[in-house]
Amino acid sequence: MAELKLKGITKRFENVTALKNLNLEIKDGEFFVLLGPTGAGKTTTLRCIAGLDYPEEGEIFLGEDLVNSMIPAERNVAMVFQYYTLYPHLNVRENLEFPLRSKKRNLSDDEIDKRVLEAAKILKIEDKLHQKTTELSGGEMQRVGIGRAIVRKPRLFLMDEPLSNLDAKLREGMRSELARLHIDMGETFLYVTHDQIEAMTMADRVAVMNEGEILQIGTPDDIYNTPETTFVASFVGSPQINLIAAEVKGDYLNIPILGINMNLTNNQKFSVGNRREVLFGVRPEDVEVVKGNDNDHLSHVYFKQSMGAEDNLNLKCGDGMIRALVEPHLKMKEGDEVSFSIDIQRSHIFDINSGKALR
Amino acid sequence: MAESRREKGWKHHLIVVTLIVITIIYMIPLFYIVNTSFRPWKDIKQYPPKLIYQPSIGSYIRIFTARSVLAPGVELSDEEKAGLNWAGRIVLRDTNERITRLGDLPKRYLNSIIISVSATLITVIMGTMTAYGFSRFKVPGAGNWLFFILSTRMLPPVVVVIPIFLMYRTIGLNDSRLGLILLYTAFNVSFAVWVLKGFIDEIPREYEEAAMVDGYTRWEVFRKVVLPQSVTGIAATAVFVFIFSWNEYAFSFLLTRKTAQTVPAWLPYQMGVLGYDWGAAAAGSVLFLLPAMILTILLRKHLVRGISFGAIRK
Repeated sequence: MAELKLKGITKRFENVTALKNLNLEIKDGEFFVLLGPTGAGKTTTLRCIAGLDYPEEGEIFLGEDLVNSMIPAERNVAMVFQYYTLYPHLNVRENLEFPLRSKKRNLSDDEIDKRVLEAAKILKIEDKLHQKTTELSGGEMQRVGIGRAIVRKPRLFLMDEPLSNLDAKLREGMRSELARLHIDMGETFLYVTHDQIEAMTMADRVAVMNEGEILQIGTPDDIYNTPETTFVASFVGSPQINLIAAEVKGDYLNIPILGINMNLTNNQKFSVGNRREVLFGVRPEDVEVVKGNDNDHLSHVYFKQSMGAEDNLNLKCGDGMIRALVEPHLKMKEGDEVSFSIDIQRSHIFDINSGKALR
Repeated sequence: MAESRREKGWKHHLIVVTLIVITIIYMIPLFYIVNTSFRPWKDIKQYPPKLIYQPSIGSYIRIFTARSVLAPGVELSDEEKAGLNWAGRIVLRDTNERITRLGDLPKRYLNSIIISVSATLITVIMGTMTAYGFSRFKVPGAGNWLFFILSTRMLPPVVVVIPIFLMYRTIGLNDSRLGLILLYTAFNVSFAVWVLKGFIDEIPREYEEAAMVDGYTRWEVFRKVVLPQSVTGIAATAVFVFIFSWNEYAFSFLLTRKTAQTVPAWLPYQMGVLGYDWGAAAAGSVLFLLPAMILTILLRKHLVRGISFGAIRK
């Protein structure tokens, strides 16, 4: 167990700067998620920490130790890969034993047996120990992959999209198992994913990354409810947040494309300052929809996607479109005339040039 | 559906029949050699050949021995005849010869084995490590190096026989096992590097990275993760290199005489006083074929994948 500090990490690949002056502190025992799209530099960050890549600039501290120049074997971190990486020439037990048989660890056979059985019990793969890895299902393979990390008792667990190769149902199950595992073990987890649901459901804290930079660090709640940039706002949340160009006119906010006006709150007026053009953002669940003409903004249902627990509506209003989430019992369908109102308290206003939130 | 299944069955049978025909065509020379090697002395040159005959191991005895012909009119006494062992009696009956000593075959055979096995081992070891290096590390000018390695195979070996002969004579490698081992290794390393690089490229790097994070050094990772997974490629390469070295004729013919001569260079000299001994040559060929056959059969499960040069993913 240890805390992790990254100070000013910069990593270049030939012409591409993969990580730009990255600063990050992960607390002891924390489940920390790096969230971002493909190519954001999440995996590169992980590889620098594991020692598989070396940053050109910056310092990596594991606990008190500066690990920059250590080879992977000396760092005592465990890594779980996306593609399981179970050694095909070894069976399940041998795969679990593999890290323990390293000369660096020099463990007795009894100790190795004990740890393997312990891990197998935690992951419920005791009856698979003698199987070939090729006979396992995807979920079982990834269990073995995680098991290979657990047996080591490392200072830090690194996980590189470990669930992204599993099918949707299995992924959901493994999500809760992993989160529970973290609670039981109390170890430090650094988890990389492009799946915002994984980040929201498992993380103590999330860092949203894009193009080699960290855009925002916070609890899942912070990230969702107070996104600091339009990128964070639109990357997190499904269906996506509505982001629409708007004009400030005194106390009003005018959205030309939808042809609607709204009163700004005092706070919003203050943070907008003397800007005239802004980006207005509101999450679909903060758009309230009722049937018929109800004094609010009149529109009609352009397209409906049923998602079971809720319906995702695309409403046509003026020349524009706005997404809203409604309860299925309203039985909205394409062509219905509806009215919507926007919860201005829960909406976000962003600078149109920098994309930064105005608060 | 039924019709297409019938069509499939029909195609399947056609393929099987074609394969049987091809196999038979390929097996005819082999059958002919084995057949000749067991024919008794008097039947070998008979025309038309007899289909049914009493098999004899006379040819095998002759290929293993050196003999002297009894002068015309000379006959062995009964006492001398009684002193002959079974092999001696067969030789006397067949060709009226007397065995003087053990022939050169065992020595030549030993040379072939030592040279081929050594060349194969060295080639595979060097090839695997070089291929791993090219596959996993950024080697400056890797493309040029690989092309350079390959270019050593672009000239037919025979073209360089004379320069190598002169060179070997100067440095004293003529007629030495070491000379042939070095030569065969040099010729095959390029082949081995290219084939093995294909195989190692196919092993995902993540395995190695996982092992390194798990506490192993690069060298340990190579031994414990890369080698076990490249067994197929290594086996296929080994068979090819071994067969090349085992069969090689031109260099062995020119560069060796007594000490280091291999079977292919020696086998054609089966000219006795009684004319060319086809039976002995056939027997020698059969014995010569065996090691390559055994090796290929032992490693056949690796070869199926191996011959496709790593084109099929696991």
